[in-house]
Amino acid sequence: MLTLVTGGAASGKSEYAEGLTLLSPGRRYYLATMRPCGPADPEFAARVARHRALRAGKGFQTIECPTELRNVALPGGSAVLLECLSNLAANELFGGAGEDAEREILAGIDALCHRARDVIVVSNEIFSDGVAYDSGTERYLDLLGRLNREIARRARRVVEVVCGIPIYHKGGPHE
Amino acid sequence: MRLIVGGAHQGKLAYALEQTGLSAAQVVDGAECDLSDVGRIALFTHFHLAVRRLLQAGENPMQFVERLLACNPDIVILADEVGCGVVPLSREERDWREAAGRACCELARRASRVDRVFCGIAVTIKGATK
Repeated sequence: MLTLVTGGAASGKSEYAEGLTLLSPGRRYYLATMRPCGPADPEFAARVARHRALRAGKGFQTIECPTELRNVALPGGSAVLLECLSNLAANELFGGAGEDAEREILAGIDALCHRARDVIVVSNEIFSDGVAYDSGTERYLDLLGRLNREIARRARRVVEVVCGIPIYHKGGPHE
Repeated sequence: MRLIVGGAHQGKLAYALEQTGLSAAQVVDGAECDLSDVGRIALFTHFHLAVRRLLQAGENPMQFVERLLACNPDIVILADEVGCGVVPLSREERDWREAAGRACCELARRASRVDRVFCGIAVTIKGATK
């Protein structure tokens, strides 16, 4: 079953998404999409450390997946937490599939859904600030918006997390 | 009048076209249309950008709203939510954000129905869902 979890920065969406993944009986995999900006990026290291601490002891096996989601091999019946779509989209658009980013990522999501029992995709709500960005950033916003809509269409459950509180746009807590 | 709001890139226009059965050719785009001609408009998109253009031209967005609604009582208006960022440094941007937000409040007050689209999913936040 596919679930899309989105929300603003520091909204509690990761913790919520991890909780959902823990409800799944399958083996748990964490697809980490963040790519460090440099060899010694302290902000990146701190962010990764925070997320690792959140997951510690919960039985997740981490798979690094900055691009090429389609090539991730998972055993059948597993539970997969992909975090997060906004990094994967940026990596594919600016340093991977380029113009084919949308198709590549959706093919990857479809492949995950085919293999895994539960797929939880974490995305990011960055569309309501009214700022007119440069063309590169607008291309990125367009891509992430399309991905969010397409994944929401495929998903059985779509959740926006606000201050740690889940708001169900599609489906509910007991799908 | 119906109002459809949501963040950028959420699928508001696709939802509006599906709901109304209108074609893309019937859409009037507030980003580039002639703002002095408000007759016979079925679907008006990018209302928030029309507000920006009106302010730049020294016009009052509320008066534009009055003209638009007087000519088109059954119009469907689409607007981005633009108020969820950090307060902009420039006065012009702050004024625009304020005017766009207030104008949307006025539109929502007078609308028979208001929908908010999130990730392509519409939630009716005012009015009947028949």
